[in-house]
Amino acid sequence: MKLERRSLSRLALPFKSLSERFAFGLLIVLSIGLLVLGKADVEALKAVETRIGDGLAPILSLIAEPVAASRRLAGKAGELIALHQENARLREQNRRLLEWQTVARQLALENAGLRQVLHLDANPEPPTATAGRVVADTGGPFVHTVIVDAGAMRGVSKGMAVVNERGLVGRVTGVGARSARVLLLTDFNSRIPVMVEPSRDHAILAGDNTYEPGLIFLPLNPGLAVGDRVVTSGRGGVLPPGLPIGVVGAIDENKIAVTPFVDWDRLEYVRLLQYPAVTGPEAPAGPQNGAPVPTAPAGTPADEVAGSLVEPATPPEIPASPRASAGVPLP
Amino acid sequence: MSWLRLRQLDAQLRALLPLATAGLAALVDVVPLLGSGAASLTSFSTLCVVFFWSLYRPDLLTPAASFLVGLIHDGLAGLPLGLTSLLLLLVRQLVVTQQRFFLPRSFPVIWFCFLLVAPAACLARWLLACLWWGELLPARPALFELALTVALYPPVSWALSQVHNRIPRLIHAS
Repeated sequence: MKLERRSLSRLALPFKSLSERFAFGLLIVLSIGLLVLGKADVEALKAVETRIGDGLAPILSLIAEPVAASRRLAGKAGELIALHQENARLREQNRRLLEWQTVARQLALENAGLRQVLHLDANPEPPTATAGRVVADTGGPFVHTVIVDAGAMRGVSKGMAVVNERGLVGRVTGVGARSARVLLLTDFNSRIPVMVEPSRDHAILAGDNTYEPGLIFLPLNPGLAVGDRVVTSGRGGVLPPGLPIGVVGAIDENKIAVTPFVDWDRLEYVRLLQYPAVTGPEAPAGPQNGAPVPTAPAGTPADEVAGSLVEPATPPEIPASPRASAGVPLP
Repeated sequence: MSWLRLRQLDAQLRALLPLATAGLAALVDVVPLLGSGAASLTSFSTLCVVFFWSLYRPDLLTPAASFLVGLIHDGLAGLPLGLTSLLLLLVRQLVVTQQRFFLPRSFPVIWFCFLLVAPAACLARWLLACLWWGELLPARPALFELALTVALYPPVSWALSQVHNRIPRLIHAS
């Protein structure tokens, strides 16, 4: 009986080898086919990708939790060692922030007064926020995206701005039921309309898979300096204006590098912000006097239009220190 | 349920261990270990696992299983679907065809062979990614990933050999 089984399995060996070779060839062709279809941006493939992320997000959460806990522990140990210096740094920072708080209160009052005079809507609707934890990080050589454990079931939608306590992290590019994929601003596919604050130069922040994305499409003779803050400009209507991104880190002939505020080593929890859609001016019920009704061009947020109306001819200068602003009493 | 049936079920479950470990490696590869984005340090431990099982139990890590693991890796990592699948299939085939040469060798020789296979695999992956995106991607992170992957092979191999000892030899096809 044993001999019969052995001889049968020996007989089956060439067939097995043949079927394996056939499977190998078929799967190679299938892989290449997938790559070609992926290049053609086929929606079905995106759905497969989303399903994979969605299905495995709970398992990834389980794995990510102990890893995050050990990272936190290691971070705490490091903090304990540098406790003295950290305390001194925080005291100094606290002193500076108190100065800024006084200035901010004064400016807020002044701003509210000016808005009242101009009959401007004082506060735009606040964004709706959903928190999510980073469960998968695909960093490394090719793409800089992360998967967060919040999806369509928690109100996440494509294009949402993703921030943490320091600033902009990226934006949502894919949404599943329980997970979402976030394209980090360092990824080479990332293009974000930004504004450099003191000079109010508009540009595009282009990721290049390095720590420091670069500024492209700047106006002629931009008034940039190292240390200038970079925020989202809101152009294009995808991201809201004013989200902090980073500071100009270095300027050389080939690249104007921006150092993001986000600490990529400690990216654990993020907030996904949904800003209320900005609607253009309402079209009247019927044409008046037969004249065409002017409307804002597609993709132009109304707040940009409003912003350009009240924008002063010369941009306001932001003082390096609150003491530099005249007439503000400081403690 | 008879004792024999239970034993069969146990053996079948153990036979799934190579696929399970390769799938787990694909998951671990995308878990944020040290940082995110440009600051992240990633490994390609899936390659270590596929290399190991292709060498010792290719009957349990079939081409279809390698393809599936690659697909999971690509789906999670946000890579073009098929990229890692293609690569893992090629690595598996290479190791299977050279199995007679590899098997009788000692661990350092096998590690040295992995040292030759891994750069070729990572280079092919990097080139394919550059071709797919039509852009010259930075090579430095790919080199870091390669170095970490090669360094990871001994511990991964040791852990998998413990798993290997728990898989009944009867399932051997060759």
